[in-house]
Amino acid sequence: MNRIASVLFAAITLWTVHSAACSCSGQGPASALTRPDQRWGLRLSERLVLGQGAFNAHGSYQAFAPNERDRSQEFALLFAYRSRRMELSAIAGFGARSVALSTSDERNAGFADTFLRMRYEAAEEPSPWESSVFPSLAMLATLRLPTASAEGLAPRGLGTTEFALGVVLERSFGPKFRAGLLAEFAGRLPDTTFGYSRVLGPRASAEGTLSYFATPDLVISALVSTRWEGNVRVNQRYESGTAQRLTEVGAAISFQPWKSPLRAGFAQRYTPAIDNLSANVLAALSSEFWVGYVR
Amino acid sequence: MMRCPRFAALALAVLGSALLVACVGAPEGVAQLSGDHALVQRSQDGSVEATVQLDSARLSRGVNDFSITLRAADGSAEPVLKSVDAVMAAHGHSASAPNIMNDGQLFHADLDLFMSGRWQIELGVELDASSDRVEFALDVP
Repeated sequence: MNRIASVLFAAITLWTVHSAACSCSGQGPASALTRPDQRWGLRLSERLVLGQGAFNAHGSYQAFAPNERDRSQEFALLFAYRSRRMELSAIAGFGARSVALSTSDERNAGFADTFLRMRYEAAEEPSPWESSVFPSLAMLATLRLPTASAEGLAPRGLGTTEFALGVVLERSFGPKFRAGLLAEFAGRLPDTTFGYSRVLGPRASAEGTLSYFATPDLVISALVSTRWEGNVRVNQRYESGTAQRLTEVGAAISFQPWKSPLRAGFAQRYTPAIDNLSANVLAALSSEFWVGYVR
Repeated sequence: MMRCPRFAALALAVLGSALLVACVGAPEGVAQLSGDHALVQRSQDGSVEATVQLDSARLSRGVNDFSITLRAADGSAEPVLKSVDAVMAAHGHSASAPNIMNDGQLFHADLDLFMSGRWQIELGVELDASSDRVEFALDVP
């Protein structure tokens, strides 16, 4: 009982602690762009996705034929505004997707889905001289708006509004290493994008990162992530076998000097073509390059 | 140094749980359609019965040729196949048979099911002045 009380007390203490939180890992999609001593930031990114094949509902991987392709190129602009521990951000994008499968061929260009996100740094991890095991805690709330085309052979958006809630736990291990864990759950609103009632299944995502601070300004990270989506409901009827599972591994390098307002980074993600690791999804190699400016 | 294994264990446990939860079941309620096994399906309003035959031995990703026979439930008139459409609701994909040819009450349509997974097929039929549809699902391997 004492132990539970101690854990609860420690959690409440950490929840309400008021000191400058450090959001300097900056690797995953859940990280903040700005530090607590900064007010706003801009980030321009380019993302290239090269499809290699696809996993079917049974988790069997099938590589694309030589005449098949699925390629996307997206440019996104992120604007972030910070008020103390809270960072509000909006992401708008534009891009194109080109798909050729079997005898069908289509190219789709236009706006991407728009994201509005709130990130609240609820607790920072204890200082090195404190004997506590708790990691830092940040909470995320994200709204995805369906501003992209979501039909046809090369859909680029979700086709509906998505609400997501997540938590990010991060912990340093000595001066060089930092580990992070993101867990996110999302629900989607019903839509009639295709002329009938459809409800996409809920989504659950988890991502683990391990970062190495090669210098105080240069961070190299490795990541593993998994995403699951439930069965789709069409006309109030669940369609079994439409759930999705995606497992990715990746690495990132980012340059984020403390004394300069400039940021830059590169991330690479890969879906291993191993049966049963993923299901009902595209297996792709994706690269993302970004530059940022913070004040 | 004791903290690292604890946190790593927690991270692994959460990721492992996520992978465990991330089970994806095989499609159920899909038609078992092959060259040897035809599908007999009644339309939504019950006015037409369709017999769908796959021309090849097995369903496959890509173009599949279907032979479809329509029969009015009450035998009063000859139904006509007007459209063959397919949708993949999860990914927003759709496909339609570009041409439908007929030889009496036997219709032929080729449909490009370009992605593996569950496709919902809809046959649009006309009987006298009314329209009806025959629906079934296919699991493309």
